Amino acid sequence: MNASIGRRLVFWLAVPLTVLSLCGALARYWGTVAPRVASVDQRLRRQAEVLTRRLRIENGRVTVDAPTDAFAFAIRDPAGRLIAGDARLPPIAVAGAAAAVFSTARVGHRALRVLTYRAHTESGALLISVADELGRAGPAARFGFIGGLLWDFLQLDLTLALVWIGIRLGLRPIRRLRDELALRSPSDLRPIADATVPRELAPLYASLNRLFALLRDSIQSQQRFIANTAHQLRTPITGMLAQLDLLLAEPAAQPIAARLQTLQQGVRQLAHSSNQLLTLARADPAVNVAPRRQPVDLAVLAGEVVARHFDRALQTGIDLGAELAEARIHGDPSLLEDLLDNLVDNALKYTPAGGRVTVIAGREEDRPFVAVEDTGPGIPQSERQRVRQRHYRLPNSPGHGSGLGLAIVEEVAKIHDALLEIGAGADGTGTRVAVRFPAN
Amino acid sequence: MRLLIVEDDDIVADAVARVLAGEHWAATRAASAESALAALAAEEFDLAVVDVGLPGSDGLTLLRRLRGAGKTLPTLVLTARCTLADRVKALDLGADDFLGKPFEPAELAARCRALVRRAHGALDRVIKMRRMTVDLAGRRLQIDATDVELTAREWLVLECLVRRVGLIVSKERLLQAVSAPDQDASANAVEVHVSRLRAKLGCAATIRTLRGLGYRLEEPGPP
Repeated sequence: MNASIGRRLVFWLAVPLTVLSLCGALARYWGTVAPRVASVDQRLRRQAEVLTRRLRIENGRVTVDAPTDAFAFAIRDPAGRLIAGDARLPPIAVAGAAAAVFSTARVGHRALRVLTYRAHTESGALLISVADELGRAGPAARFGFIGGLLWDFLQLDLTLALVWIGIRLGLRPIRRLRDELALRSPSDLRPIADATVPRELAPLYASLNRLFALLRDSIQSQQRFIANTAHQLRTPITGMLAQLDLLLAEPAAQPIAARLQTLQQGVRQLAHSSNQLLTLARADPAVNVAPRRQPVDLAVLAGEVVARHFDRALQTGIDLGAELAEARIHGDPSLLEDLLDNLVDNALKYTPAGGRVTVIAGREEDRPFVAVEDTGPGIPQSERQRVRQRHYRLPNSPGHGSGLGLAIVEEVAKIHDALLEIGAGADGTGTRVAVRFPAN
Repeated sequence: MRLLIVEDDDIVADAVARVLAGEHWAATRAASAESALAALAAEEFDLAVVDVGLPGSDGLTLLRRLRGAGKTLPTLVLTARCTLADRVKALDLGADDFLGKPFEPAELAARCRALVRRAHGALDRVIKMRRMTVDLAGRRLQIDATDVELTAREWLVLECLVRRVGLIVSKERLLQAVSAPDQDASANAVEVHVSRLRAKLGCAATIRTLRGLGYRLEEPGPP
């Protein structure tokens, strides 16, 4: 999955905003919390002096003769035992060299600043802690530095959520374009309507529409080229074939009849190959980006194709027939005719004299299909995939095929979302080639 | 009978003329739509064979102008673009029949014969073949100058087949022809009539079966 523009925008907003809010928290700490702590510290120092002065020691007992205005104090011996004062204040160690240590502590719900120092009296060293409340104004003071930061991040999350919603609304035109392209059938090369497109997307729409137009033109010119080539090739071939036929019928040509027949064979092959190549070009998916679909009854098409091949079957002594039931589909009739032509042509080519070729059309499990069965040598299981390739011909196959027949069939089937199945004939011999179309 | 060939390719035009000369047609050739119109204005023709791919205005344009001018001359269209769409277009524009290139000379001849028969059908109800004569109006079949009796249903079958000698007539069409208005005949019935008719025709004409599709009446070759 590629990066989304929405996520990228949120990322590039989130990183600087996070840094910014960190800086804000630091600035607020140094601007408001730190001075307040400093003033509390100063007061604690003064109170510590007062406390030290009022400390009385009689017979090793320590008393403070008057309470200070500090929130709390605690006097402990070096072992940490409380001698006087408030037990709620935690004992805090003062390292040897240090005279005094400031720390923060929490007693109940109150945040306290604690000054702990060592006092030297006649009964030995004592650890004295004086504590006072930190101010309670502002969330930063209430939650401390980390709390303030968390509060900032909460605000940041809300901001980013709103930004995300904004981005999604803002990117709606892009989603519209995506839907427009996704819903389009691949054959639809009409320009995209761009009347209400935002300025930023207009160049993209223009490029896409230019591309569509280019594709349309090139497909049309390809189709025109194929049609023209068909005419240019077929007309002289028709003339040659007809002339050769007439020549062969003339008594004067009898001495060279064999040579004329060889020539005729060659011209027939030329006609066949050029037909095959043109059909393959016509069945090319690139040319069929916008196929001309219309309702077609495969049975009617199959009937016409069988009728067209009838004389050839008679000449080669093959019993060509049909079993046709209505099989309506939506398709390109010319391409479907090519498909049937090639199936029948193949069957007639590979079936020996005395054999039987049957063209079948109908529906099976609600799916329209056409099939051609022959009593020829059949296609071995191992070759059934390879015979679909262009120019591939079975080893030892008779005749002079171009090896394009089944490739054409497969291309036309693909254009119609149909399935090409190559199998054995009804009684396990011969070949049955079936093309199954999707149910409609 | 007079035939107009509208075809720009010399070899094809010559071949068409030769094929139909064997059927006693006198051909005139035009290499463009314009010269075809000039020829049609100058003399009467019984049939036109028109190629679609002509230089300048094409065969279909010529056909439209012909039909627009009220000419009913039977027309067979030849084309290298023989897709179904092209065929439908040609027939819609008023072509009487259609043949794709390359074509078999025998089929060209058969289609031309059928077209002229259809055009003259109303007047000329007697169809003469090599060994048999079919008088459609008088319901009389003669083989080698001898009358042959046919049942009513056999007549209907023969009539259908003989109008399209050399061309395939579908099973359905024969079925319609032999069905009485109040009762449907079965496909089996058609087969029975065809085989009886086949026996009566003997070797004067062959009725060939195209399995699953229909039948074709064929004349025997020259002796």
